[in-house]
Amino acid sequence: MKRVYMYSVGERIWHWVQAIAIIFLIITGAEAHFPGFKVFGFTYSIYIHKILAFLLVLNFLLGGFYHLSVGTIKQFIPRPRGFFDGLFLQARYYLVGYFRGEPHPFEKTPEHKLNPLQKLTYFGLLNILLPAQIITGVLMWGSVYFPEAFKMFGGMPVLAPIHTLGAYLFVAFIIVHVYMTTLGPTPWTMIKSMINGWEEIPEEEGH
Amino acid sequence: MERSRDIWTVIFLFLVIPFIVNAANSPKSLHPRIQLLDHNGIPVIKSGKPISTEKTCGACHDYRYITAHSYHAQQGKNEFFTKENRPESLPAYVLSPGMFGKWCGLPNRVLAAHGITDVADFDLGTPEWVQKCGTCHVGAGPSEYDRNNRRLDSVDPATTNKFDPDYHYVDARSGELKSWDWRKSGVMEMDCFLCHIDNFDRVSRDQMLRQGKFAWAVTATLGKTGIVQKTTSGWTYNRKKFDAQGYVQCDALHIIDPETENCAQCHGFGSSEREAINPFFSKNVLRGTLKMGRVYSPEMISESNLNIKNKKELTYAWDVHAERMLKCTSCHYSLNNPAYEEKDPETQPSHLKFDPRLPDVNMYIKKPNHDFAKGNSCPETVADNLDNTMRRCEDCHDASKAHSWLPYPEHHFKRLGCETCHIPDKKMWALETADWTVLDTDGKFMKTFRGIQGSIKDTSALITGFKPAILPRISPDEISFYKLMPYNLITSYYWYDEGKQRPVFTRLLAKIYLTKNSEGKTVYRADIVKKFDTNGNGKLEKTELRLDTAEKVAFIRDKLKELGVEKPVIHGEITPFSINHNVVGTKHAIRDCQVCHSPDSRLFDQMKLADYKPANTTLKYSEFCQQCEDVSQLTEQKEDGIYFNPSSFLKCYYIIGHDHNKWVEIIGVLSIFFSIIGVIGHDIFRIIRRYKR
Repeated sequence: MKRVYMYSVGERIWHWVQAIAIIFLIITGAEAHFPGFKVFGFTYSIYIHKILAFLLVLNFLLGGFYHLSVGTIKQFIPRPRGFFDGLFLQARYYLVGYFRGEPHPFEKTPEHKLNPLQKLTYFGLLNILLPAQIITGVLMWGSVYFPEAFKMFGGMPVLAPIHTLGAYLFVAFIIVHVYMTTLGPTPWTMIKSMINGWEEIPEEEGH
Repeated sequence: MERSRDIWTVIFLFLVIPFIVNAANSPKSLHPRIQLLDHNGIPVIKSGKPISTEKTCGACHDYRYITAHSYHAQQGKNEFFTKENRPESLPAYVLSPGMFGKWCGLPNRVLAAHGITDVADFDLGTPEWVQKCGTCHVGAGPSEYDRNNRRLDSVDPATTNKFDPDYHYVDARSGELKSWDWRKSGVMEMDCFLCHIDNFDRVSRDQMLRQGKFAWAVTATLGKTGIVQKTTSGWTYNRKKFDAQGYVQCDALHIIDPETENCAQCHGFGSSEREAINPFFSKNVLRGTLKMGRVYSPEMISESNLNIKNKKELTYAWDVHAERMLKCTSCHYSLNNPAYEEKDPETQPSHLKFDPRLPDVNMYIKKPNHDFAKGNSCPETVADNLDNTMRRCEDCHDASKAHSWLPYPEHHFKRLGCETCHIPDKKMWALETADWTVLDTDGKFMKTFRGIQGSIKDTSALITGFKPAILPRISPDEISFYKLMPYNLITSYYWYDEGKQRPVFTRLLAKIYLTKNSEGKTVYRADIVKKFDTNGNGKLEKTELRLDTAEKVAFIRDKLKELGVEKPVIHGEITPFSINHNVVGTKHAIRDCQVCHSPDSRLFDQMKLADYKPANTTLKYSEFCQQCEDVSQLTEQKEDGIYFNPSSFLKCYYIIGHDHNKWVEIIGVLSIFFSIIGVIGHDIFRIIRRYKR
């Protein structure tokens, strides 16, 4: 096993702020959506939801700026060449190879942290799902400040269901995402690496 | 020592008591003494004729100016529709937007128009309007001038057209058209006393109107002042109250700015002091209360003498504004009252903080504008040009400072009227149904009330109150689009002649339903009793007098046809009356978010409309303040009657906590479900693999 400094401080802050914000946004959103579900109480959950939403937007913008300025943004962009082959290989690994003890089809390095399946997922997550949540959320919040735009997008009857659907998809993503972090050499390896930045990777692991 | 103290006390009282007595006897009004004059300008104490406010009040105040513009006086007479300005949505029998000319399902009378050539087309003439509607009409306008602006008592009825609606009426007994001699009845000039004295006598005034002695109505309003006395032949003047020149002192008249009690004579129960509101002695003082359950009073509901459910817990005033000593004119003020002068910031130089040029008080006294600042209550349509001239809640209250607890306050302020939370419920009854398809023995509609178990005339009946229906309404602030506001919904059923395109006149229904018995008492006709008396006790009860079967409808329809109604059908109309009074303060307003944001959202509460719907009748929502085109889904038939279901109205809203999109929920739950299944399945294989190793 070799120890590799996989995640910089900036990446880790970006990740955890995002993770905490999204989890609490889901909890507070669920309180508003299902009034029988109580954690903070309806009124407080609405306040917390608003504050965390702005924190998430800020984090989204700062994260984008960080990844752009240090160049790690390219890791999130799927490249067409061999992408689908890689996707198939990775899916096969999770479904078959993993159980047979086959090596990971792609070597994880600080420069290439994401496998093709992750690239596809995060590409959708960061370019479609999260922006959709932010846009619908901002439009609903801003309905009194820019009512024409709010109306143009169909108002609450359109925006709120899209926002709710996005929240459901985030929950589904988090379930799978958290589970996938346990597929390392030990169940805690990847989670620890996102905390301290260092990840243990099998030396023989190859491509 | 003690003796000396007593002496000083006596001296003190001796000096002080005269001041106290003097203060107690000092006039309530600053108004100077008044010379009461008759129509010829002669002091009434000499002539003995009715008081003319035109001559009396008009000596200082511009009577012509006041009566010509005041919508309280004109009641739509100065807004009669012409071919050019008639709104397309209004039928031809609606002559004006005011109560003089407008048709409404409650009185169900059609004001006769010029050009009628047959008594069969003549329902309500001006003399009958003054007689019956004059009780809530301040005088002048249609009570003084005809539609050609001739003073009514200056016209010889013999010179008028045979069907001139201002000079004729239909005799209720014979059904014949008769001429009205205004020279004999006199006209009802604007009754300034009705609103400007505190001891008005509305009952005596009403009697004069009913007796057709219109000129005496104003004089009768002074019935409680001691200035006039009722005699068997009419009214006489009490010489003791007049001086040699025919003047009466202002303290005899108590001339005042209008108080809540003055307005309450027509606009529902109201008082300016903590006096008990007693609806059982206020036969004619129902209008606002009847339509919206309105009570404007500082009286604590818990101290009320009414039998109100959980009264002891209701330790707050009927209306918080009344409790804080606001009277009606505080909000509905004269539009040129200098005290309420408000400069338009758009026309003022930006550097000018204060403009000392106030309107001339003398001009205001000479020509006080009697158009009062108004809102835009649904379905009132008179003087729409003055809509939203009054101050709204936000003009006096900075809501942002009192709602720091409220998440997204701007969103709530834009989408909810203040009344929606600050009038959470009414602790009073209000009219629910007005059924003109059948008549009671008074010749009036059958009615049901909401918010009371029993009759409103029964002092022991339990008042349960009611929750207003919440409807979207176009906001004066266009940015907000619609605001959810509280309403009372009144359902009216009435016969309509599709041949002549107008409601069937009540006198025809009276012919069908009613007759006089040998004692001269009005009773139901024998065939009606036979048809409707389902329990066979020989009497018609409220629950029996209903056209709830196609057979009963056909029975009355055939009788109407026999009386000449071409195509009688029943119309069902639901009219929303906006609720803006009975405001409660912070402590008693809705503060719990989940009242609205929950599956049981209060916004979606259904309101009962009627116990039944006449067979084959389609309900429509009258005007509805242009809010919603599709109202087909708004009513729901249940076992105990028909209900208003606001769901389809609120489709354009998405109430968080209440509204869920079915497909979003299904897709969302499935996505989570398959994620969990996938994770569990994968993990099971992991565990199996680990054990195999």
